[in-house]
Amino acid sequence: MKMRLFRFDDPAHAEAAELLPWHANGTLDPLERVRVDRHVAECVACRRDLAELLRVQEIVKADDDHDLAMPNSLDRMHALLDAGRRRRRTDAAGMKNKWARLPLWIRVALPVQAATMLLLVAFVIAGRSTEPAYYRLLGAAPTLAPDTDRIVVVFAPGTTEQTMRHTLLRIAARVVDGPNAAGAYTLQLPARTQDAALALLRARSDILFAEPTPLPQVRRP
Amino acid sequence: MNAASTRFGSDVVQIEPTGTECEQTVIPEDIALTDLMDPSALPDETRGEADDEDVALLRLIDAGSRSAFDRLYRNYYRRLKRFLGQIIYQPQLVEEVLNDTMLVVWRKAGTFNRASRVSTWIFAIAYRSALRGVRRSSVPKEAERGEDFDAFKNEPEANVIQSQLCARVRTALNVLSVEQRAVVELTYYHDRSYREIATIVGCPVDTVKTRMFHARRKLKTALDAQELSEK
Repeated sequence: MKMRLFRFDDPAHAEAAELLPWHANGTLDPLERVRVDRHVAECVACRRDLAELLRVQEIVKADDDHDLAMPNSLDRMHALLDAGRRRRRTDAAGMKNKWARLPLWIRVALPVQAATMLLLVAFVIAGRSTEPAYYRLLGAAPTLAPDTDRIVVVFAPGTTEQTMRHTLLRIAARVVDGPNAAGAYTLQLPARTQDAALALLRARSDILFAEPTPLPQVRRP
Repeated sequence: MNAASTRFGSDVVQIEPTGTECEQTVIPEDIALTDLMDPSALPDETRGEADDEDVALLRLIDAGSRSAFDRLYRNYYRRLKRFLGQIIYQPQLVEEVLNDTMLVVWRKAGTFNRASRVSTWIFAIAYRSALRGVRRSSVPKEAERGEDFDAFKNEPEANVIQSQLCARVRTALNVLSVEQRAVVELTYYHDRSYREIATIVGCPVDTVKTRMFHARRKLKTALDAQELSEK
């Protein structure tokens, strides 16, 4: 067969060069083996590499300068297994013994203390549940609690960011949503300042719209 | 295909046919192998009678059979010791890691579910234990393994040549990282496919190929340098 020199970036060469070690140890799948065989038959570099690989592999396999004897290893392994089993047993027994060695008053006080704490937790939880529960079917429309501290505002076109910021600072408002498609912002106000804020905003020429947020519709079954 | 049964001493174990669909191998928690096995990566034909025997032994071990464990231990001792010896260059640590590995096998035998060969599963445990062992140990990962070439003085000539070749390759292997040595050892000595190696070392197959590529280049450079220095 005609021998050739392949470019290193040739895909067939790259694949074969990469797979050569496993071609040498005979673990390639049949399709890969055929492809690599075909390439190696024509490629000078891969043939040389394969010969070198086989030589090194033979040396590695022949290297028996390893002490592979098993003197006492299994005995040590048994000791490890026994120690593990003993430890598990003694851990369980140790817990029992420790409890038995405690003074009587501690053995009484600890369960009483635990029961008291449980009662306290139960009491706190029961106290919280005095507020009316709010239930909603998963299929029902969202029913938010009325939010009287939120207003919707539309600024006049051309209002600068600096003016908007100044206006918001005056009424201590925070933008929580927007602008939407209509250019409206939803503002959060401090509690009980809604009326004053609305009056101030409506008096300004750069505010086109200032109204409380509409109350959500509560659907009744 | 019908299930077969195998007898070990007084214990009889049902063995499922090897062609059955397998779930992902359950890896012991303390080993933390993240990407252990793509079941399709290991063709069933790579499993044989030896694997059936190992599976049966694992089941007995899971049931608490010490004799089955002893048998598995003996079956794997030499292979594991050789493998670990090539990764860890401290004999005492090798023995310790080997027993750590088999301790995990003893505890986690019930988690093996045939997504890979038993030997692949055990080697994966051994590899992870070895890395932990190397990290624990004060000796650096790429510790030099000294070779005394004068030790061959009194051997017959043919043996001397062979021993010197082995020593040369062993010295060259010193320049590899632990991860590269594992790939080389599993390929050259244990005849593992790159897919199995990926499973054992817990990395993608492309990483295995890359490690091998760099390992071969380093080995070649080291061997060439040795030849030059001897001339």
